[in-house]
Amino acid sequence: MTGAGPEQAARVRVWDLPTRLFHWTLVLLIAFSWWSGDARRMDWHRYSGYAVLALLTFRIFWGFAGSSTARFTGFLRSPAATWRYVRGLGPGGHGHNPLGAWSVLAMLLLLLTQVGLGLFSVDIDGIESGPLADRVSFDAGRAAADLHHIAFNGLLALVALHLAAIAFYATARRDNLLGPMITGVRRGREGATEMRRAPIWRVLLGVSIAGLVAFAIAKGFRF
Amino acid sequence: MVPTARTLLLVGLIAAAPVAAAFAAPAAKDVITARQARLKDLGASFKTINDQLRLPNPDVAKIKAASAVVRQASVDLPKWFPAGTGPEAGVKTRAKPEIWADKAGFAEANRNFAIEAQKLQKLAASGDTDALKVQAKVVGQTCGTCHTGYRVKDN
Repeated sequence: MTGAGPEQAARVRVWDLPTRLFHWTLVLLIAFSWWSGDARRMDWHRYSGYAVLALLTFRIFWGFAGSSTARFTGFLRSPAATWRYVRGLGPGGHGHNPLGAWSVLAMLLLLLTQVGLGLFSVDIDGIESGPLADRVSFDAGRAAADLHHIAFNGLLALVALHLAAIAFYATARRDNLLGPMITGVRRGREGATEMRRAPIWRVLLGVSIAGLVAFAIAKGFRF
Repeated sequence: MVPTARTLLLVGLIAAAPVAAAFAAPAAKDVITARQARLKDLGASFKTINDQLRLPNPDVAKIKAASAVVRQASVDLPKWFPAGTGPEAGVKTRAKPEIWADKAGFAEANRNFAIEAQKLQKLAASGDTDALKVQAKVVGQTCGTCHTGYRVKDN
């Protein structure tokens, strides 16, 4: 599975630039959202949230239209296939393995939930609120805010799991997953197909869609 | 030795004291519950004001009604914190002991809130939404000033 022989030493592309930029920008934005929320810098917190929303929108688009390793069909597998992988019976491809795929899905869904809740949240004093909070009652906005805090703890747990998994692969499997997410290339695996890049125009389309969605929501759909 | 009337009275009072205290404790709980309800109304009203000011065509009637609640709360607030209704009451409250330890500071913060809330109410009557936006922020700052010193921070 980890292909250590000389015939697998050739480096192959695994993560394209949009995917890598998405990943690391998200890391920075999650950290900044965390700090700005705690420090009650709510203007910055909202901007950070809109940026996360734009990134998530792009990632979902890229999951359908992006390079082969970024596409959901490229890495999401059935529970049965995932179990086969865990037991060592499934093939190791490039990109997310079936187990990692589930954690990616969980993180994306939880992040969407977190941003979604923030849009409707209001603070206890009725002073600071998300761009869609005026559509709901004070009680509903408070419930959204409470869930927004709870979901963040869930997110931290998933991040911790993610880091533990990367560490596990690095040590127990001698498989460096961090490098490829930075450089985009890794040691080739036997039997795995080369990443197929998506054309540039799709990147531009994805960025445009992401920008428009985030802008529209930031304005509360009022223009 | 037969106890005197005075001794009996003294013993009776000492025996009654914990009973009286037990009756006092629910009173603190009621005061706390009631003020938390009023404060929640205050928060909800402030949200209403800010929500309306966000709209292209704010409903001034709603702003008027909500700013009246805010103003009334700012006037009534000092009455919501009688002695014994702080954390020592044994009821969940975010009221800090400083409210009673620093009565002058608490009163000053409340005074500022009341002054700015009155200005807000007057502007609501005029319907000047631009000025209302500015004043809503000012009132929000008086909320924050008081909370920083006298309300327990969450998380």
